[in-house]
Amino acid sequence: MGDMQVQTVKTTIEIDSHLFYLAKMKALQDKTSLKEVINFSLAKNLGVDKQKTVDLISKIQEIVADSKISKNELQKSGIDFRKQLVKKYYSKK
Amino acid sequence: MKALVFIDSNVWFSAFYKEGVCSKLLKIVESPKYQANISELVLEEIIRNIQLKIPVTLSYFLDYLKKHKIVVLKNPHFKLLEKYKKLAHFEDLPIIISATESNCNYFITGNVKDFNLSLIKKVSKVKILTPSDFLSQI
Repeated sequence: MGDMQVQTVKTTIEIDSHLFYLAKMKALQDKTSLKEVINFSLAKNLGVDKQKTVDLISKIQEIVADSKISKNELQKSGIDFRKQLVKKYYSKK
Repeated sequence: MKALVFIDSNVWFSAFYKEGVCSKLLKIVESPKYQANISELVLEEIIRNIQLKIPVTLSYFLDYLKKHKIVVLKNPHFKLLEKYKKLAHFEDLPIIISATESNCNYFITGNVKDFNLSLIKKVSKVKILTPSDFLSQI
């Protein structure tokens, strides 16, 4: 978690055995821990965003890398869209 | 008081492409010292380009905007284009006007040459910078 300090608490609760099984399976599949799966699910359910921003941009970068699109193609296409949009919004005024 | 930073679409596209100056800039602008801005036009341009070229990433981009509370400035009224017509090429005018009229402190773009820097300096407080220049100035 880098330099971010994470506080944890120990507690005892009863949870649904089937959900517990599914959480363990999910942890195995994702090669993570049961604690991570439960923390992530709780955070998601409670609307607490634990994901760092940079992950979203990194995720986009991964997909772009897989797509094999070139940087110039992406930029050129953007320029073309801008021209079209400005024309659409301002040329008829 | 937060510094208002307008981020042009070409900076977003470079940040999407790979880790580098532009993604570093986004990370810095996420700090409480700054408020990142785009305009309706830039938003539409990015969304349309993503939909065409990398549609799978759209939800990540929209999540990013939401999480970081990126401000979307209104497009300027067409009358302002006449007033500011010498500031930039026609295609870039609405973008720089949005930044100027909203009192942005910085306008970050990869295409500085498309803007009349000396004139902008006279009529607006906004500084037009490349991502590298912005990083070296802060």
